[in-house]
Amino acid sequence: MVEGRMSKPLLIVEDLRVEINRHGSIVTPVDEVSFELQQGEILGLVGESGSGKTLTLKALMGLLPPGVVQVGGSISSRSGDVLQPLDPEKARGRIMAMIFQEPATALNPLRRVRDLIAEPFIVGHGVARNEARAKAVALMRAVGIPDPEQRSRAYPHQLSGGLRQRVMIAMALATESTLLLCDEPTTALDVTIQDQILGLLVELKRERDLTLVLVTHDLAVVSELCDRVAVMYAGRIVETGATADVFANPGHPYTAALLAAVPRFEPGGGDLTTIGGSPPDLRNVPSGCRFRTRCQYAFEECATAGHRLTHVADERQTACIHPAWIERGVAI
Amino acid sequence: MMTDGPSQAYESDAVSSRRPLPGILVAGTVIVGVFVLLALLAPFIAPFDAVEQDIPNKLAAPSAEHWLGTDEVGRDVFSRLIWATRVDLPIGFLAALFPMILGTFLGALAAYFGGWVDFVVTRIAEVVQAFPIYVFLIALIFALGPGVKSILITFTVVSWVLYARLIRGEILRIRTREYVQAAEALGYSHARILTRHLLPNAGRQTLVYFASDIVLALITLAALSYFGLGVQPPTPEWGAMVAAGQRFLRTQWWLSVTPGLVIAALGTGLSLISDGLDEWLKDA
Repeated sequence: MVEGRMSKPLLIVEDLRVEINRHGSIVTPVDEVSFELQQGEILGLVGESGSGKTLTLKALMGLLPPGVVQVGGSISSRSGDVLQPLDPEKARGRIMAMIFQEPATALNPLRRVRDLIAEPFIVGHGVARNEARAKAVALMRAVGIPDPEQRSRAYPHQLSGGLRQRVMIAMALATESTLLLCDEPTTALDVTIQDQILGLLVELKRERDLTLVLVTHDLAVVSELCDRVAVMYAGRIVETGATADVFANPGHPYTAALLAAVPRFEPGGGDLTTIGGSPPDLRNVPSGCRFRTRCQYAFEECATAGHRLTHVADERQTACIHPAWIERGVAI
Repeated sequence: MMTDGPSQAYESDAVSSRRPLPGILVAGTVIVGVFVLLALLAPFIAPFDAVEQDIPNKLAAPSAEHWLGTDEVGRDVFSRLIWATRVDLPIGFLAALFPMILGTFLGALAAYFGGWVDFVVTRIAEVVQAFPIYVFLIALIFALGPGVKSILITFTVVSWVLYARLIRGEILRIRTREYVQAAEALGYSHARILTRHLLPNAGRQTLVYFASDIVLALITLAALSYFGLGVQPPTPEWGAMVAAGQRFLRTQWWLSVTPGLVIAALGTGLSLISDGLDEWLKDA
């Protein structure tokens, strides 16, 4: 499943830095974020609320909210064999599309479903209205909406949450983008529907040769779907690698702690493991490694270490300067 | 909020069902519809010409021939009331429509683009609003000379401000809604996002206000005509008719009272539409 993809980065993000300047105090919710996205993979971006994963996506789309600015870093995309700087304004709706977290509010309430889905065809590909509507119905069928003919005349509020999310996915597909950025696409849905939607995304990815970035805080989702994972903490990526490797053998204490905190349903499983303390206030982050104040392995040099992802194995990178300690599982 | 449960209410109630129209909206529409019909069919309904004088028969009391009597130069009052519908209705409508278009356009630009666009539009709006509205209207019409054209220009210049404020506030409110972001994420142009996604969602208050603004325009038009600044004689116009009949209020009171009642009736119809729309378009 993963053979040969190293040769084809679709997107390269280097040293992305996003700042919020509020009343003169500067906060950096995304800092020194670098990653590569391989053609045809599903990359999971995980982290707690406020770790910067959604803002990273929005920076890629060029849709940072007012007052939030990308102040550094470069994003390049590959077209053919050439890498060139990505112009989000031009890429939106052409090579990349976004799927939002809350399908209830991300669909224009005054437009019928068929017009919502037909719009990208009309705008982006100059398709005539009637043909676009026919294509919209076909897409509704493709994303598993039952009775698409009839439902195409519905307004968003007349559909259930799961169907709305399918409509949004259909809209993204209608742009014929091959890169889908999914911002917690199932967080707002029922657990049973979550599975259906994730299954749909994987199926569509396979059928249409899509590349997906999946922002989530659900580690189970990541382990099920994602080829690779990037773990974010306090605005930085602290570890990346193939999902199976990272989960089996975390290379950063934060990842290890996250995995340990996943509830397990085992007889006599005991108390839920938690990570002591709370994520740092972004206005006042610890020097060096941002996790060190909560890290059970922290050394003195962690306070002065610069943030750098280093290769620990093939395709594995970690920002921890003493990853070996985790394996030994020894607290200092 | 619905979820993908086993039983969805969707099949039975949704797709084609509409909310019932509020009674007052229907009533208002009927009243205004009657006026529209009167305007359209005036030549067939009005028994007499609007301007033809019959001096020997002036100031006649209501009779079988002249239902509402005749005015000071012997014109049939009932016919003039009907013909005046052709004057008052379109002027009132346009005197609200033009400001709505201008105000919505400027207000939407201000809210959507913000920055200096917003600054300039807001400052101009403040300057216009700083004048007492009637003083401003009368001064402008004096400057431009009385007549329909000046009335429309003046109304546009003066009352776009309210529309601009309305739409600006609404757009600022929904600007950060996710569906607007979603439209941006799909690569739609500014013009498309504004016209297809923002304005339809922001326009409810504007529509409601528009209906009541027509009433305002009608009454102001009548007032201006009363002062001799509006529609010029001999064109039949309700406000001018009220003014002309004033001299005979003791003896031929119907000359002033009937056009007043007509204005009140149309105003009531429009107000009912305005309130009805407000009720009907409330968030689903």
